[in-house]
Amino acid sequence: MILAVDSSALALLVNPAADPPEDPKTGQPVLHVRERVEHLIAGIGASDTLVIPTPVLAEAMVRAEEGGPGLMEALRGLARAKSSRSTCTLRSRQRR
Amino acid sequence: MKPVEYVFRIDAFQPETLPMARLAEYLAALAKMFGHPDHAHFVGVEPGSARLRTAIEAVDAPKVEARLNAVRIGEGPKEALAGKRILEDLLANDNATGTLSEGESGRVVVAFVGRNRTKPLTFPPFREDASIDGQLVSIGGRDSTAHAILQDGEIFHSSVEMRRDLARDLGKLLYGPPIRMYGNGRFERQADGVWKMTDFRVDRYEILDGRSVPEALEAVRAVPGNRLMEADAYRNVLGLQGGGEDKA
Repeated sequence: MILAVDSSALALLVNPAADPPEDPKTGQPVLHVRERVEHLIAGIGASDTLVIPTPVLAEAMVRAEEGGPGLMEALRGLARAKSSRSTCTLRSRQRR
Repeated sequence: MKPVEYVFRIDAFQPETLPMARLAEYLAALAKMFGHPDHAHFVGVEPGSARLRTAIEAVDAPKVEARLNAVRIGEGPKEALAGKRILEDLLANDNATGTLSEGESGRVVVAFVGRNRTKPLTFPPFREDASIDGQLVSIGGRDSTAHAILQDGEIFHSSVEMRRDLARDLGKLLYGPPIRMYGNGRFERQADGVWKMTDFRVDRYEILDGRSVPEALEAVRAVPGNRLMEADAYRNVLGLQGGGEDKA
């Protein structure tokens, strides 16, 4: 599975306990957000990949503030979490 | 029992204008689509555009009917689908459209768009710096450059080439840890819209950390001073996108 995220999804993956989003229909906080996100994370296998587009990474770093460089360092060189532009464009691969 | 007839209509021709060689090409493709060559017969060409009447012997008629129904929805045996593709190409090249109908009822079994098919977008190939990830499963070669295959799950990156000295280093990583190769690739867009990397020249590589996504997220959470771990992080990030939930 390849999981491509926007910055709000990434924020929740990193911090499932954050204040929940509002349901646009009711204006009320979405229920059981933490449990839902943790369930999603528990379903990610060892061979699944997280794709973080460069603009998403940039927004996460803006929010992380002084934690930004550490965030970059934590994501650098991971086989299963890709944040470079090229990994998004490389859809063309040859099957044997 | 009577044979079941099908009529293939080509709107751009009349019997007297349809070249014999072209007729043969249409019939060969039709036969491919029908299958069961021993029991599919050509009956003749009729006027009203060019109408190629064919007959399927009763013994194979149900099988051919099922095959054609599958072709209509894009399924069925490869050979039948290949036959339809050839017919589409022939029609498009003849600036024609066509239909295959039941001879008796006139019901259209398979419609062919021919000249009306969407023209594929074409882009010239280009080269771009990129990176590819995976496990090295093959490396070697006898010419001046070495060639490698990188496996990323079920996907194989082939046509990967590099200098021999780089290949010597990489050889130690054969069937080893995941690696990322940086270099320059040639990309082209295929008719089905999928981009294809036709070659990749490697400049350098790095050995990757094989941790899973949950483990990577744990590492991000542990970063000192990471304000993504604050309670208002989600709403603040949404605010960066112009969303309405930034109440921070």
